[in-house]
Amino acid sequence: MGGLAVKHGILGILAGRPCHGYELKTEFDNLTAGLWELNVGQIYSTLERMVKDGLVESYADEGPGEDRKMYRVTQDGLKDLETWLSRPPLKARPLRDELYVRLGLLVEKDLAATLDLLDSQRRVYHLQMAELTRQKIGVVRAHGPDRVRREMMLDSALFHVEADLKWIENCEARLRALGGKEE
Amino acid sequence: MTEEIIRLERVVKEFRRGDTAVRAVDGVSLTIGRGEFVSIMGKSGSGKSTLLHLMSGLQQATQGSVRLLGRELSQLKDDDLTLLRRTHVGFIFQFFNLLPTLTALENVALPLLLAKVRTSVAEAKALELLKTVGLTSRAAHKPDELSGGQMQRVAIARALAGDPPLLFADEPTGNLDSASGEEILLLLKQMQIDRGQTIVMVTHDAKAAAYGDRLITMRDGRVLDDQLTGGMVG
Amino acid sequence: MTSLYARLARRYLAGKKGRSLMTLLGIALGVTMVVAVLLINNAILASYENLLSAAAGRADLQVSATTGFGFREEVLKAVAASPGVAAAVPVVRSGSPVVAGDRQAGATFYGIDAEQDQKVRDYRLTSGRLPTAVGETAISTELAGNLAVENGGKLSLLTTKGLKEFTVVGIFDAAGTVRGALGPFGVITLPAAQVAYGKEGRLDLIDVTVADGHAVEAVRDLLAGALDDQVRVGTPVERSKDMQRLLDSVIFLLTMAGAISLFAGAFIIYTNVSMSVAERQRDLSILRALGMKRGEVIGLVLTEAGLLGLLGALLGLVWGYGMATFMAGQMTDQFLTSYGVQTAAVTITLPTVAVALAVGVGAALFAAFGPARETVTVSPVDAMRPGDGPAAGAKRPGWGRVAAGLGLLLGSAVVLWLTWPDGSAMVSPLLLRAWGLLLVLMLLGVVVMLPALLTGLTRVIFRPFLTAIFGITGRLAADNLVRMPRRTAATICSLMVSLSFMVAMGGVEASQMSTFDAWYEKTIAWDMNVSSSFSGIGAQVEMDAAFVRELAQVEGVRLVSPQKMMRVIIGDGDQAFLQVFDFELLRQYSETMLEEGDWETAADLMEQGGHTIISPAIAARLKVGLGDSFTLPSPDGPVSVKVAAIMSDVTPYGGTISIDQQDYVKNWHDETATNVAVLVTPGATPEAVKERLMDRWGESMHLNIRLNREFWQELRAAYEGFYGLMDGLVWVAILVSGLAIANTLLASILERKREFGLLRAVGSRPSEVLRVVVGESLSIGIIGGLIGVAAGLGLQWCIGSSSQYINGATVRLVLDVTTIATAVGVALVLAPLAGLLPARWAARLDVVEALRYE
Ligand SMILES: Nc1ncnc2c1ncn2[C@@H]1O[C@H](COP(=O)(O)OP(=O)(O)OP(=O)(O)O)[C@@H](O)[C@H]1O
Ligand SMILES: [Mg+2]
Repeated sequence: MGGLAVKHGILGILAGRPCHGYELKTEFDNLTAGLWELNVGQIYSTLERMVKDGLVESYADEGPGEDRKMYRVTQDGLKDLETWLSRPPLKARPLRDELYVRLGLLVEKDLAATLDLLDSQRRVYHLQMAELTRQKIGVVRAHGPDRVRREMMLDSALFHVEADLKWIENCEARLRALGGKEE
Repeated sequence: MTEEIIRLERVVKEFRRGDTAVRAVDGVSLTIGRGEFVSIMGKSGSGKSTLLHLMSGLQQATQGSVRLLGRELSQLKDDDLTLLRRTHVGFIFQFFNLLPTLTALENVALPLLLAKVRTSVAEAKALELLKTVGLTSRAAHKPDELSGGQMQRVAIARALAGDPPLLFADEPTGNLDSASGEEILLLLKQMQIDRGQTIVMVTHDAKAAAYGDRLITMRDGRVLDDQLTGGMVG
Repeated sequence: MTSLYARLARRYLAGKKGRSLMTLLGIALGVTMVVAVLLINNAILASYENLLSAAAGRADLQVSATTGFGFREEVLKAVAASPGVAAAVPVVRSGSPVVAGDRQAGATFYGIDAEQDQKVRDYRLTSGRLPTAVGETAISTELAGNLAVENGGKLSLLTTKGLKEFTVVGIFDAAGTVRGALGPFGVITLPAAQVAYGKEGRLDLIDVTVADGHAVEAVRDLLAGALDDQVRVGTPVERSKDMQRLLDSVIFLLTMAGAISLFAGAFIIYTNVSMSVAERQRDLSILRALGMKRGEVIGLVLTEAGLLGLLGALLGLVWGYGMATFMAGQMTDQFLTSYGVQTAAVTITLPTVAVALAVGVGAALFAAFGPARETVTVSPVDAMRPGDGPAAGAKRPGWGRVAAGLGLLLGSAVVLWLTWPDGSAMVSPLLLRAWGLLLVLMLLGVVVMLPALLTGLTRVIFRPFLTAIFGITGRLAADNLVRMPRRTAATICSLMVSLSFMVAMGGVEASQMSTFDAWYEKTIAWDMNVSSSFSGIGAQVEMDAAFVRELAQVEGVRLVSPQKMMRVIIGDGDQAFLQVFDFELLRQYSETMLEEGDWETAADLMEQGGHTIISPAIAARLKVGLGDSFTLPSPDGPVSVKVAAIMSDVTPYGGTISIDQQDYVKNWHDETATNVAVLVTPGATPEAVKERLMDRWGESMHLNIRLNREFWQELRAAYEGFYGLMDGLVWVAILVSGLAIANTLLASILERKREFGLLRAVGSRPSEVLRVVVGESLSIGIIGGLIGVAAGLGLQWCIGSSSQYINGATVRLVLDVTTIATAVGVALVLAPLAGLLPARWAARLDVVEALRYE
């Protein structure tokens, strides 16, 4: 998923400066404040496709090292990036979550198990939130040049987790009312 | 866990109204160590504030034992409790609770002045604290000339005036917009990190609670969950 | 709309029972005092009018003596013959002790011509008839009851020559008649009365009815022109001015007391209404936001206040009636009897009810209006924000108010200074009332400028002072003091007013007492005073010269000095008190306390005859000074006397004149004495001599013998009775202001409950919270005390030094340390004490509870 976003993310990074393939992973992580982790294979397959489409070209780097293959953006690539960035708003995010499937299967069968599921899920979200907050505190205290971008990304994540938590609370309340019992 | 600073054992708090009794806190046992930042969450009426009041000695438990800094609170007289509060505990409330006749500086210095610290010393200390919360320029302003966030920062500075090892906050961001709220939370976090301050904070807001490294969830006067959140994302 | 007001108002008042009760109490107490004072004043005036019209019945005019000793009988013929006169009814009257068997009573006896008298008066005889012969009497049912005699029974009247027996030939019902209102009385024949009271050939009064078709005024002028100046012609109800002067000064003081309590009451109302308004600022603003107009919100608040005012007024009306009834009794017993005034029954009239309601509701509305308007000047949005208590310095009262207050104060002071008596005239009743008004204006001035003054005072004095003593808690106390400067000022005013009243009254009392003591010490140096009457009844009978000579023969008596006291009408047409002494004797044992002149010289002059010693009031009334001459009316025509000295006068009768006995006997042809001063020989004790006199004449003459000390105690008791009454009023006022202080502090604590909770939370001990509140009340006490004592001293000076031009009594001012100390004590103790209860409440406040936001 998100193939288009990955492709244009890489194009954008390369528009800044030419990079090695392995450099692109860290740069992408940075771009999304670590929220969107890519594996190296995904990067190289994307690069290959782009070279084939003539959006990116590779050249050999002078100097030592195993992988001396560098990538830079072509004119076509820049044009493509520009049209992508100026595209109309994205479609609403698809709402898919493994939790929905599990919940769906359990809810009518085993109320107690459902509640347990929600409970443990809530702990997870809290942990995640704490971690995100820690990162955010780190960002704020570091006073780095990329503070705004990183904070924005972290906030997005925080808001999403918050929404998830609220939803879980809501579910719990609903199920409790259904079960007619307190705990 | 490091040195234990609060210990609650099977603490119960009942409120009587006529012949109906409400158990606001129902058999809570927990310990809090020095330097911890504990968040307490729970639905409205679940007993969070009451728990905080019990821990800080603002209210006495109906049953069980509350030990604050090694002292059994139920055995202290009102004056001694006050003295303990004055020297060891700082408070931050949802509504900023500054004295309207005093300036920001004087409000911060208030606990010191109550403890009979010399005015010049107290005010120097207060000024330093105002600097920590970034309000040096507002030292001479009265509360009604400050914004909500500024007032809350003054309240934090005041809570820290006596260098209390413990800081209690009851919904400190409850009355603020999210940006001001974050500022306050960050400030609290800084206090924990930089000064090793122990903080117990009640909040409704999961995002605020995430600033702590331990989360206690309450329901119906009981501790539903006590979870360390200081680790890594699962 | 109005029904909505009423509903909202009722709900609120019922919800805040304590506060509503306090407000109610404030109004009720204020109205109580006003009603009581009003009723008493009315009763005093009414009874005085009764006194004058009593003897008159249906008479249109009265011919009375100016000389204080009746007038010649021949006048009757002249009056009867005068055109326009339908009937001329002669009367001789005297207060007289009466004895029947082992019972005795005091009564007024009238010598009448039965046939003539019934032309102006009705006698509802229950049995028998009116007396027609010497030795017969008819008495009222009341007197008959007192003496337990029936028709045909016997009673004895004390006459100039001792007890004389009379047969009761008739009993009549005097209830409901004007004479009846004056208490028990009886009638005897005119000749019998003339003999009994040493008034042969004389009359005290002629009641005149005017023939149809003649104007009363015209007949009056005609008579006045035709008769000589030993008599005066007037209408029965015409008040003589000295009595009015006396009543005026009593009424003045009473009114002042009433006004002061009302003031304090109004302050309570103001505080409570402003508190309730502040408390409900948010609710009211929601109403505003929901579309209630400003006027309607004000209407709502005023409806509440009005409702309380109405209830308070009704309560006050009832209490006031009770208080008036009680006080009227006290007044009669202790004070007014000696002036022959008996207070009439206290009756609630429609105007009284109207005034009470107007005062109660008016004061409530007046006090509520300011706070009510304040509600709507705040924008609803501001008010709905959950804020903290009233902020410091909000609405600082400006300099405009200080200027206005100062203007009022100075303006009133200047007017007072301009109208101050210069010793050439008495203070007219009108001026006295104007002064009362000035006093109110000055008070208003203080009220207006106090808030600003308070703010300044706090900054300059209290803040540093309290901070130095109590540290930060003192500082907070000082700040709280000016949080609501107007409310605090109102409280201070109520304390100040009560204290100044206290200091002034105490000071005047002390001054008058010390003047009296000094006067007594010097002037009253006889061992005993003999008069022929019953003590306490007020009725006196003259003793003749033969009796005085017999007295001198008694063993142990060294010296007897007959004296004569009477009322006369002097040059300005008013009454004066005339004293007759034999100065040759007098100077042997006593000295007259003088304001001007030298005693030895004056006594020499008096011995020569043709001289007089007068009091400052007489000097002012007749505009005479040392060495000047004026005339006194006598049966032989005007007698010219020259002023030998000006003396201190402790009586409030409007002025006193002393002449020598030789002049009196020469011109009045009267050798009787009202009382006889007796000195004992060195070996004898006054007690033994008194016993000897009583043994010999006690029964037959009904002697009343007072030893020097006894007389002193008797006079003191009269003063103390009056000032005791005043003290009672003072303490009621103090009580009300104590209530006001407690109320204000409670209000400010309730409003700032959260602040006290906060103080506790950040580490104040209960005792420290206590200190904040007590510090605040102490400051109120200090300011109220300071201004109160200063104002009181001013007031004391004003009353003291104008007294001799108001009712004739000389007052030498003294600083009354006791009262000042008491006032200071009250200020420094009462205020903190009043604050203690609210303070304890604040200190015990549950921290969590206090911090809770509703
Ligand atoms: N003084 C009191 N008298 C009676 N009941 C009380 C009192 N204080 C608290 N309670 C009750 O105790 C329970 C817990 O109250 P508490 O204030 O601790 O809840 P909370 O978790 O802080 O709620 P919130 O999030 O709304 O502040 C509630 O049911 C409340 O009604
Ligand atoms: Mg709470």
